[in-house]
Amino acid sequence: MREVNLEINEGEFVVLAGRSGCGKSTLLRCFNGLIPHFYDGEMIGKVEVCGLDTRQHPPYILSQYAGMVFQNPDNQLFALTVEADVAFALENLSFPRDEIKERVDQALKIMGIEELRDKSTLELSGGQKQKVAIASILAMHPKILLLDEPTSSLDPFSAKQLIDTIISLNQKHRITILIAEHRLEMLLPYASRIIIIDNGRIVLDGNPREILEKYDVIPYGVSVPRIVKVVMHLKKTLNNSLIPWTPLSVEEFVDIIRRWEEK
Amino acid sequence: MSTILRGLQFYPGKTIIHKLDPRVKLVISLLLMATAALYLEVTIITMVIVVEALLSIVAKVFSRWARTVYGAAPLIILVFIANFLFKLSMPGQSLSFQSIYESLQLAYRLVAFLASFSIFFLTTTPEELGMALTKMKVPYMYTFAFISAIRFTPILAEELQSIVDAQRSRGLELEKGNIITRLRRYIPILVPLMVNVLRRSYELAEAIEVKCFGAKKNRTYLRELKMTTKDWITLSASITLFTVAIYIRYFSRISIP
Repeated sequence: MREVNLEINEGEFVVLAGRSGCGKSTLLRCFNGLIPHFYDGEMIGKVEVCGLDTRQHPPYILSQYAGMVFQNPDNQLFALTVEADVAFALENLSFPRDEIKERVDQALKIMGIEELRDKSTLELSGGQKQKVAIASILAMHPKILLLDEPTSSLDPFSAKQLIDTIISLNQKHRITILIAEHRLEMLLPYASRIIIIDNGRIVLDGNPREILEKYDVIPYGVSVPRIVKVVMHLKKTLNNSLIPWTPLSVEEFVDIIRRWEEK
Repeated sequence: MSTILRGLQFYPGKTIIHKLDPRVKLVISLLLMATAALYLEVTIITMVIVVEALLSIVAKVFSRWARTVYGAAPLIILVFIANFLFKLSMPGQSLSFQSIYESLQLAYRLVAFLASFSIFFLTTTPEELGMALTKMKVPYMYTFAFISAIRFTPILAEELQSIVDAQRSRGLELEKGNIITRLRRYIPILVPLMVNVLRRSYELAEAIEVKCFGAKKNRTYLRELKMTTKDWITLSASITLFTVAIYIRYFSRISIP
């Protein structure tokens, strides 16, 4: 990655987009200290997370501020039962038992997986595993949640469910979200910001609606939601005033059409 | 591959046996084995096996218990043959009823051993085993290694199966040829498996870092084993019975049929 100059505010919902290998994962790993502590290589510049310089604090400290969820659910669950896995990080951090119990209960409740508590991690579906993985990170009470393509191994239905939960984490629990994803269709209506990365550089950064209206992002390997493509075509043929703004979801498009009727 | 998965599956149960402290269960299993080691008499070994069978019935795992014991039949037969041949090879021994009977006794004792282990593992989850290890002051590194082995074996088994399928669909034949050519044919399976395992271990290392593994020296635990009155009673009862067994064997003159 080169020439990255970025500031993300509390409570933002940031989507990182770009083709595979463009540097999304690398950028995410800068926020919890895996870069520079876990990876070899050269790091020039400075990353600060919640006021902490990532060079001076090890990943286990930074992870309590910026928790990370990975792509493959099987590679991030370590215990044999759901409850034990959600408690795992807290146990490593030597939290007192009562507090672990309280936080595990809370994390399971937020993710809506209380009924999985005593299940074995081996018998869960992919979507359930990913929810457990998020719960075990949430138990550390991070301010920021970093998600690296969390739905890539899930079927569309489980992916939608997971993304809905992630959205509610941002809206209800005010957790800052940074998510690298290809399924933009479900995310963009709720995202406050999209950052498009190409070849290790940030090429576009801004409000998703404005970015999609102004720029052609397809060459960067970004999958534009189908409804946006439809509207772009309509705009070329119809009177521009009929579609005053670009809808990001089907619901928003229906809203525009409803206004036509009212007029 | 499904057999490996089935072997590692654990069935949480709610019987008295399941609820016993795993350490107590381990002691009982060891004592049963020790009893079987003290005696060679068929009557006593039968009594031990009957006790084990009763325990498995109480724990509602009788059919699975019987299946594991039955599954060990080839091993038992092997032990019998090995003993028998060993006895024959000794100087001054001839093929007699006595030597067959003695070999049978040894093989029969093995049944009692295996059956005792089987009950322990059928009624104890790996999680509980891990907790027991922690309580026995085993360093967490080792407990974690044990739990990870159980956690990741089925995943690796699945991966192995998919590599076998992928290579077979590319024309790899595993069943043809003599032993050496067959072994050589496993190379295209083992190489991708190793590569995948290495890649996975890197991802695991990342994930465990993020979950603060090894952050603090004194790790805490959400769940901890506690000995209840019931556990103490069971423990002392079984130790008493075992003492009786030792007494009868070494100090009394009761002859055993």
